[in-house]
Amino acid sequence: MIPAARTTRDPHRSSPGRVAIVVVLALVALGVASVIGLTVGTKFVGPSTVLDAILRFDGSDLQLVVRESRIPRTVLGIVVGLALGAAGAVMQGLTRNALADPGMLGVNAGASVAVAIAVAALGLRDFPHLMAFALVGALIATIGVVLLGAAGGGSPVTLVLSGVALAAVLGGVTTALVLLNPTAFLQMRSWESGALAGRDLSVLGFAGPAIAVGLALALLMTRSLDVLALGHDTAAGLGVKIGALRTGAVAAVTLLAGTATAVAGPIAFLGLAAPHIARGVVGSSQKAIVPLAAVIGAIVVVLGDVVGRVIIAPQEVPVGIVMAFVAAPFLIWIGRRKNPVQM
Amino acid sequence: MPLSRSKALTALLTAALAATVLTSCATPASTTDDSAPAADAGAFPATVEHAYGETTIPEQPQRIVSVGYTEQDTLWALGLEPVGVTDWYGDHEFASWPWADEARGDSEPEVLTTSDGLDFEAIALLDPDLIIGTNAGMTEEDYDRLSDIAPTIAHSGDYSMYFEPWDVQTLQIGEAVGLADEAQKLVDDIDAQFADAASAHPEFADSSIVFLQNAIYDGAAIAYQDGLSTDFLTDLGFTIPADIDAYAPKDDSGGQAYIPVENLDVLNAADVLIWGTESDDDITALEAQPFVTAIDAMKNDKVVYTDGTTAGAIYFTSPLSLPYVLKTLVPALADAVAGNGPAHTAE
Repeated sequence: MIPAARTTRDPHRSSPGRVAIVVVLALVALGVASVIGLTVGTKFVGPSTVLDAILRFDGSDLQLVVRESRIPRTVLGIVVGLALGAAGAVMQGLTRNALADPGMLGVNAGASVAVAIAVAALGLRDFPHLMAFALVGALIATIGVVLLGAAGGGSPVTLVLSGVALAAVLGGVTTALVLLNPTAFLQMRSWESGALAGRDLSVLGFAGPAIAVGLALALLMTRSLDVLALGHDTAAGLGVKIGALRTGAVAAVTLLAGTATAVAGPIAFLGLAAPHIARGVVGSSQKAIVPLAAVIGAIVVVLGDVVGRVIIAPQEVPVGIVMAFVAAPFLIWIGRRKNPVQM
Repeated sequence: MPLSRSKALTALLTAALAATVLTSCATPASTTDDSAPAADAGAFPATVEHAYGETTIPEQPQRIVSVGYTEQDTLWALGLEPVGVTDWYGDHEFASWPWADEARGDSEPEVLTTSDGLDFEAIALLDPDLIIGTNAGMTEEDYDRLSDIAPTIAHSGDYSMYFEPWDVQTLQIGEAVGLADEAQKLVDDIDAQFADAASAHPEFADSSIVFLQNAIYDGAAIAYQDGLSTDFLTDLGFTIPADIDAYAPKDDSGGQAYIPVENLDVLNAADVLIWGTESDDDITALEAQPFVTAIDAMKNDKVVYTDGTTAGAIYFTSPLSLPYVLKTLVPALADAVAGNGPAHTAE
């Protein structure tokens, strides 16, 4: 990989042809990762068994593993990874801060507090309800952050500071709710570890459309984000409606990160890392970074889940925890760069 | 028992901390117990060995405080009335579960929590003359601080810091309170009850069995491997299949086996399963899981679902809870072994 430290704009590296090739290669890599995701784990499942499980299901234990575990967790991993990768890319493009990630807009905190309310106060346990609450919580938190940020002048820095502040407050509320209710505690513990195992594909009925809309929004605004990179005033001078752009970006991030968080729990670091890796490969154009970061996100989540399956086999580690272990060295690497925040 | 559960349930109590501080500031109950059983002749001064050395109790204690998760049961079973007890989970008044209410009688001890570790301040305010912590996960530092307050008994040190065998705890507590003979009698009596149940159900000895915690957590089932709080099953004659040992922690932390759903077929090594369910919703949730329903024992109707109190009694494993376990679980086990499940224990 080309070091991401290279931040100079290089038109050759972001040429449309090159971007297309890179995205196609990344999709091929995602295909390979998916095959690994379906076959590798505490039990090895041959590709023919995978096909049989889809086409000629006979209820055997291995086929059950494919249908009830491997396919759901691989598909959900792809969806969650696409969403978090794209959300992180949009966040970094919008705030022009290379350390930005969806957690900073209070999205995770909003989702968490809503889930805690659903479980602790209303006694809900089924996934569609929890996910609806998570999304609404994420949205309310994000709108709150935008309003707070606007009240403070509306700069990217104010926005992030508002997000961090609100996230801290909401985190406290979540903790209080969870501590007051044992059922909520167990439920949240499971959800907060960031797991794909034991999740049901039916969640896609809710999560799929939300993430699809979020991805479309994210891809639509890449050009404006590229112009924004020239600076606030220049972008405004070039006809970019900053307010509308910010609203659209916030909507995209909320849909993407909120839904992904609802599906798998908070998976840290991916929204931060995937755009970094993408930027290292294709340069600084958002047009290239957003789609590539999405695919990289998917690859990383699918493979991270596989790592969690084999690293202490026959036991498993949730993917969110695998990510946390990957995060430390990665953050140290970013931190060692001359100017970690610069894009 | 379950470290994870214990952590979970103790952590949630942090929120109750304010309340605890308030109540612990109240004057400790001043009534000392007049009807306490007379200590064995020559029992005092009593010297008890434990993980952190020897503790000498000069005379019969009047104000006993239990700082562990389950020792209140043992004290009540011995006819004592501790002035302070500790709530593990369940949120029962006086940390007294239904099986313990009769033995507790009308005593009303202060209830301590361990949400922030041992609550030294509240313990000191109870002005104890003996602190019992055989099931408290007590560290040496904890022990030193408690010993500054009153003579303190820790776990024996021969087993896990948490949930060492109930009979070891019972005999140790019996010595500390000068009721060694009564403690021995309690142990013998419960052993006899198990032996009776085992001989009344010889079919148990031909069956292997696994006890599983309530639900699927994080995509894994939590099972109790042989030697981890499973005596209530092996004493009835059952065997615990060693197949699940591969899912237990490799170190000696004493944790349960976490079996990922993808590997739940390992439970086919058991003839019978007990799920420590606590409500009808828990059962519904379990039976919605294809990996669970695919297990042989589930297909053969050789399964027991517990109610919340029975699950608690299993986790408590105390001289008061074990007879309760026998009462509710043995009939259900007989049904399950005969293939007439799913059997439900009743409160």
